[in-house]
Amino acid sequence: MEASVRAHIESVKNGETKVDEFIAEVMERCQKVQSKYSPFITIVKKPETRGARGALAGLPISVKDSICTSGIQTTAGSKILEGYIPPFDATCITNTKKEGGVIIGKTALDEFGFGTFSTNCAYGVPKNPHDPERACGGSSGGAGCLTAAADFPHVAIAQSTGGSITAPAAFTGTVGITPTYGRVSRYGLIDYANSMDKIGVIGKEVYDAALLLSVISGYDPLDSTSSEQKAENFTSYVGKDINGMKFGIPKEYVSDATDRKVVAGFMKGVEKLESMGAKITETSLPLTKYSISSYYLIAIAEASTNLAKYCGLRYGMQQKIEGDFETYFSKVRTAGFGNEAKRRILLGTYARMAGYRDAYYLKALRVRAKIIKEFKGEFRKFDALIAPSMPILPPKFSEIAKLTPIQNYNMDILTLASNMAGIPSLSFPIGKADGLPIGLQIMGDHFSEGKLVQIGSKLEAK
Amino acid sequence: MATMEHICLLAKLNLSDAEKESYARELSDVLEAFKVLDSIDAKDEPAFHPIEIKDRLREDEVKATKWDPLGNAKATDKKYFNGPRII
Repeated sequence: MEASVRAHIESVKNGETKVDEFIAEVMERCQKVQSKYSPFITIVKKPETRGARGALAGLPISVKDSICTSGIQTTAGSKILEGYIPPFDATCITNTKKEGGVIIGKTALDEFGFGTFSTNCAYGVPKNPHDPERACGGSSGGAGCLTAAADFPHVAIAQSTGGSITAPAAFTGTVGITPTYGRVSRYGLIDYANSMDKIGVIGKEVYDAALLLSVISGYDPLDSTSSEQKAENFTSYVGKDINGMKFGIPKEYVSDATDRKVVAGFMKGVEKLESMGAKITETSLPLTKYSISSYYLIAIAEASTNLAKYCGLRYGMQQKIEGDFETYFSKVRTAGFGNEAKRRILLGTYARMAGYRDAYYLKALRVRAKIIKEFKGEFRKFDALIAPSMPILPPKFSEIAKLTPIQNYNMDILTLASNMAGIPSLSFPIGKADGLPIGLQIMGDHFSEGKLVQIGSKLEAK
Repeated sequence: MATMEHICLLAKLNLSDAEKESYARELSDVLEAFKVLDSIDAKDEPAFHPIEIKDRLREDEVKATKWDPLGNAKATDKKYFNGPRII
């Protein structure tokens, strides 16, 4: 079986690979990967292979379980949505199918995306293929896990609110692209925080991620926040010269708080870019220290509002209807939500209560405006900013269990500002330390995904 | 704890006293950390979205649903969802 996405699609198009036989073999391999690393919540029994023609001809695609797939259970990783079978496809799924992509399964995540490590999972925790005692990163941990473990051509549809593509890409040694806010339609995405949610991709190679992103991008009248920016073929940027490009390294991202082994791995990438003619200098993003507080305030306020709709009546978890609405809704919600979801609902409810809204939520939105301006200023000086993707190597599950909530939130320090600002980023596996992957992230101005693919593909070149 | 009772009521969550105490401790740690925002002077207009979003309105037209809205509900009666008593 051909492992390269590009070669596989070519082989389907010229008739050498029969899609039905190929997918049957892939599904057997999925079962083996599942038994070793648990990347899936649902493996599709009989994937739809009809119409496997187009840019993704017969290519296996996995989908984060927070994205609605017609006829396939979609839980957002929460017991409160157990058994929910969407009667429609998210727009990104419609576009994927239209181009011949084959949906093979739904991947694991932290409940509703609430986590950095994919350990807040109601249906099983994905294990890192580089070391099964370690986490895959979150919240798109299943997507990163499967991409790293798959011995067949495959690309994952993932989603990020505060770093949920960059973290698993870095920890599993894969390529993750978080696009500009609005680049990919959110129609059919189960919301975490509407003003920050972005559907993106994780692939083994830059080309693979660029290909799927090209297919799922574009304006969608069904999403009022979808951008009218013209869709692009991002694969056309692969391999383009970067000689003379200017990159900045924000000093706050390589401070003592970032593991020295991670910084050392990152610096190898810097040397490689310099050897290709890029001009790299240090810069500063002083507002970084405010990003954790402002991000989490916006995220919990929006999340607690979004989660108010789960009341055990129309879909998902439902119990015997007894008592008044207050009693019934509280009973179902208490049984259905996990610990981190409850924590965020409680925090968000408090932050939105009368008397606190201005002090917390609105203040955080004002800080976000400042952070966006800070990035915009940098992109007048630089083509892109580069930094380590995560401040640590993939941690052991036993280490994660000891973290307090605030220590947990602090692990997102390198991804929150860019996610709040809605700018795109690409995480590239730049090397290893102690046998564990290290990610280098490239952050660009709004709608500069093509440039990020260009830079990432040069890092990939031998 | 009185505030915690009120938050649980608003959030529609039943928590035991021990759970309330535990969450209250964690929440106060998190809120303490959030105080870093008190040290920044931010008078900018709030950024409700990271990019400029245009209002897009459509005609309010009645359209037939393409799927069965009751398809995922366990408790239904004819064309209605069954729910708990409100009054």
